[in-house]
Amino acid sequence: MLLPRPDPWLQVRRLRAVSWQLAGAALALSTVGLVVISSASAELTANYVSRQSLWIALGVVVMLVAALVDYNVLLRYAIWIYAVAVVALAAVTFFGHEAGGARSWIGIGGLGGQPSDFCKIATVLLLARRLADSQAPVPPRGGLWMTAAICALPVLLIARQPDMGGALMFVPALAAMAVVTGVSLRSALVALGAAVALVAALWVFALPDYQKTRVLSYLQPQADPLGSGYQVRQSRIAVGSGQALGKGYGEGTQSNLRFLPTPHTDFVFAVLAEEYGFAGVTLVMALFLLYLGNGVRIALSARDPAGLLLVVGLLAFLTGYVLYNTAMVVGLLPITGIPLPFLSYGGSFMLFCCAATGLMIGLDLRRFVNV
Amino acid sequence: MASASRFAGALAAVALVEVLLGEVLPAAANVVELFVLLVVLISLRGNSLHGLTGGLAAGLVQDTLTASLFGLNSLACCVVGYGVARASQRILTNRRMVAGLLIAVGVMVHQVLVIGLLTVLDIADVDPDVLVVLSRALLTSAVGLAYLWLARRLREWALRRRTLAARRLRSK
Repeated sequence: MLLPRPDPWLQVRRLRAVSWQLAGAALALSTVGLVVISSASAELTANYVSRQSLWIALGVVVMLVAALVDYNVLLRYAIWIYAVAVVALAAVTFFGHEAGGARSWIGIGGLGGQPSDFCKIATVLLLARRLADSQAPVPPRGGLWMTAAICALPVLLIARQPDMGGALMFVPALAAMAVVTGVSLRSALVALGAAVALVAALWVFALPDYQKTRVLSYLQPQADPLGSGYQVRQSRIAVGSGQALGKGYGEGTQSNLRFLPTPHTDFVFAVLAEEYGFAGVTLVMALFLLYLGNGVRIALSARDPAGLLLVVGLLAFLTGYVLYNTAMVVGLLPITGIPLPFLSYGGSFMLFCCAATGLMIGLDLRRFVNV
Repeated sequence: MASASRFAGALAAVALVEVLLGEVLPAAANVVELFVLLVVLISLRGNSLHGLTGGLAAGLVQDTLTASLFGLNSLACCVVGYGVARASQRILTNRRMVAGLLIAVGVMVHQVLVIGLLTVLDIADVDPDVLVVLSRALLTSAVGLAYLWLARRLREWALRRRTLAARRLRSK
């Protein structure tokens, strides 16, 4: 009855070769996020902590699967993964559920996930493969324009939802991958000019009034403190009132008295600063630095250009989210729906962060040729 | 790639059947756990990574199509896929009764996990009915056995046709 069969799962012993700092930092950040969400959502009706716990557990499974699947296989079929992601994104953009002002949710029965998060990984995979192939003796057709088009398609679909923040996050990923590939100064200047022209065109023809108001209120936050400048004003009060050690768990008045909008998602960093002060913020920033530092180490030790570009793209995405969210919360950048990786409440975004971490761990596993 | 595309096709077919059943016969859609059946069938033939990946993909599609909490079925399907794949490495699963038993156990584990998670995480009040769980497991197992029987017959028929064609070619 016993049937011994070889099982790739046994290659888990490879995990001994992995630096656990990356996964450890991700799990520590998720735990901190859970504590902050439990405090921020105490006055809200839905049970956010339970849901977030479920997504963290599922995220660990996703991380494991992403680490064990060979990234070369994913790169080989990157075009198909990208096609599925773009079709799902297009379907959601035109037929999806609307929540938080954006038609970005898939789900026939209830609220499901957001395919835009899946599309980020698919785009990075395809860009990594294409940019790595551009160094080959016979480069792929289309050159830089095709690369820009690969990135532009999901960006336009996400902007159409409208989720300007999500669309904006593709920019650092594309820029970082282009810089690592060694893009020429001329191409960089052309891309910069095109980006400026695109932003101007969006402002004039496509941007809704509420988004224009957000940008204007960022430039003059005191102009309308009870209207368009309300969110950033309350957020800055929350951050400043935390002082050195914070007010303590559940004692944040800005979040519990509902002055802060969406304290468990986009403004979770403001709740952290209010309740745990400078010390809590320093701890979280140290964990992010540990995470990003390990990511950079994995990128540098990648054994092929595609692997290097893959890690750079994923890291640029996550770094973009961290920098924008923290800057937005303290009023340095306009308010838009950008969550904080691992800390903010959200299922598909948590799965995206965990999948990105898993892919980086998988790359770390395969850094030796004989593994 | 061939097995991955076969799985993707099967997943799309199951999703289509679930949507159609949900529209035409909502009661029937709740009786047979087609997604769990697919996960078990994939895990019976593959290793634990296949089971885990198949469970994750099928669970995410199921979560998208049903009104349940996003991630609930995904986690349960992952556990089922991994467990069945590990079990299939220990026991001979080409016997139909063993496969049927694994399908039934897989459905029961899935149901227990979903109910347990909903209760433990305090997401919804669930009143578990043992008879409903058992009947789902038995019916899904019966559908799975019927599929395995049909697939085996089709394979034998295709093999016979190929053999006959080869004989005819040789006799010419």
